[in-house]
Amino acid sequence: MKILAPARNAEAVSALFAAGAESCYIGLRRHNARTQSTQQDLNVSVAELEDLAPRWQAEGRELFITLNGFPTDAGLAEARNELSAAAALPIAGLIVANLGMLDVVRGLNATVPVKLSIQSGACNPDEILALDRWFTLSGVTLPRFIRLEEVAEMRRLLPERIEIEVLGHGLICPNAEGQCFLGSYLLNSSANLGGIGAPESLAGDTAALAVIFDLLMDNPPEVLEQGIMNIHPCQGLFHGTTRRGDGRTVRLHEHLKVASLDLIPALMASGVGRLKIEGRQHPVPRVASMVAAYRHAVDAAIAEGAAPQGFMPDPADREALSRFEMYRDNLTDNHFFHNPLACRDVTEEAAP
Amino acid sequence: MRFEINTNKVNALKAALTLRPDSIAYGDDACAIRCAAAWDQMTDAAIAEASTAGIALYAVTPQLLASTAEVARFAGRAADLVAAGFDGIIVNNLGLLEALRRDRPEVADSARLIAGRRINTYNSGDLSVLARMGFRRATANIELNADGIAALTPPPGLSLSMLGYGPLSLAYSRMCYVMSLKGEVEYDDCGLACEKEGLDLGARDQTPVFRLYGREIQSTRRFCAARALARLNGRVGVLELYLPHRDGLAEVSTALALLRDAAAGTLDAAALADGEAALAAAGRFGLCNGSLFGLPGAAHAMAS
Repeated sequence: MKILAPARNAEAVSALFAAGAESCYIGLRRHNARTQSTQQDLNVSVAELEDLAPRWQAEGRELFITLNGFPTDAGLAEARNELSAAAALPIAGLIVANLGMLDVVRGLNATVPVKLSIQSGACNPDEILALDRWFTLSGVTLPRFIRLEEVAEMRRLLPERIEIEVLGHGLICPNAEGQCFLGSYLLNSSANLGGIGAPESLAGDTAALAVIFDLLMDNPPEVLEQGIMNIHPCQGLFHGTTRRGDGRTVRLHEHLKVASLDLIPALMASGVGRLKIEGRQHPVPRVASMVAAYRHAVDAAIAEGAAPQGFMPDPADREALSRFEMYRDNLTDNHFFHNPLACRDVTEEAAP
Repeated sequence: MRFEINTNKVNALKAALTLRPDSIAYGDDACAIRCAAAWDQMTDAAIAEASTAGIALYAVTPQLLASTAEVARFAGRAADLVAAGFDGIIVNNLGLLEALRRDRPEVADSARLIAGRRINTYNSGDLSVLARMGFRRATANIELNADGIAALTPPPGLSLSMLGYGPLSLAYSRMCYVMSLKGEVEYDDCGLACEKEGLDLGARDQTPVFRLYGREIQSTRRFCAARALARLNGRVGVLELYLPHRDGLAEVSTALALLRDAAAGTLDAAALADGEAALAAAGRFGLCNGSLFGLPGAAHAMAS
């Protein structure tokens, strides 16, 4: 099982390879789900990769370019030249979510490997096979809500050339990928259209901030100090109102992060070929530390011939993951066995 | 312009027939449990009634189908509905189309196939792919603004639909929000708790923001496309109206009348405003334009 690390830019790619990742994914300046980030050093141009990609390939490293947005007609037309240039690079593949984008990529380049993005929401073998017949896939990143037994079914039914990837570490989310419009409805920021709901991008909009942080019931300076990259309305507290009128306060979902160190042998046994770590916006040292922890754990599981159940990773690796998380004790399994998230009535906890 | 009413209850479907829409979409795309329950209610009499009235029936299928068995089950049941008299299937997961072609090719070849709103359709490239896959209609994503919809170019043989009136479906989950609030995070055997326990959620000042409806999060405001129809360049052939319950018939009737007049171009600005005011009064919910004139943002979504 290979590790796929999130690279904020070309410099990060080298650092993450050095930390133990076999593969990295990176975004171009447009056409991906982080294009509207206000972080200046996020994403790269194709030109920046022209010298580096051959070097990494020669070193046996794998670079994926993520094009996981859902462009409108104008965006799709603009993307053609950049897609063509990206597909011609010596890379491990493109990560694509949108049907129109898949069609353009295949029209431009019949041989570049293409992996379905987690944003595509493809969630069963029939769906992946259908898309494979049209676009010839090299892999798929499964949605977060997939159970481990369903991963195993995918592995049984999909051709071996379609690699299965799951989210190993990152923000857990209760909603179906590519189908959540909460951000665009409330924050003028659509994930599918490249928006990210960054707190700093709302800094000048006091009315929006007042509403949003009232919803989130958090203190903005504290939130920012904790390093929140994006505002997700689903992480807020909300009041039950008209239908029941009983003043309940509801947390839509828990502040949790997926961490799958303990599950590495089980994931491998289920046929997972690549473990994705999320967080292209995070600082490079933080991501490198996570990559190193997963590298160590994967190598240990392989060396031990660990059984799917009962694997005990090095406590130092788990500590390395917790060190950088906002909610230190809130690392959880993915949805691999059950729904880890609960929409909860927190009326008593939230009471002043 | 044609008009389609979408519902997941058979008594609401029968009520909708009285409004004489061009078609009725029946089922549920966000929750497989609600979808199966809706289909269980369907009767030959209701199908015959729609057929006699010349109103097409389409089976709405769910998006979140996470196993081959579940895909096959819903493909089979949708095919059975077509065999019983439904005119087509609204596909929200491409795996279901794959299973239909494999297991029930006669249905896949004969039924009208529609790409539902869960097949994210943002550009003309999407429309081209969907047409080649055999779809005869596709649904514009709710995040597209009026200019984005007007720019879409459906290939010959493919028509375009969009939401005309109803709550915006903002997200859905494998986890049921309502069951989760009841302390039951497992998602089956729910007894359709969403019907009884749907919960409106608001900000600290009680301004409604979302409604939890089972596994789905909806806007509390009702989206209405009437104001944008003149800007869509004639691209949209079908407007969808959501009738969540039979009690909403008067509201949807008012919306249908407004949308018909707006599509016919018979409303001036004052008449449009009057129509929207009447609709807001009929529906008990505020109206919103969704993304049609730009992403809405908190101020628009929550304005009282």
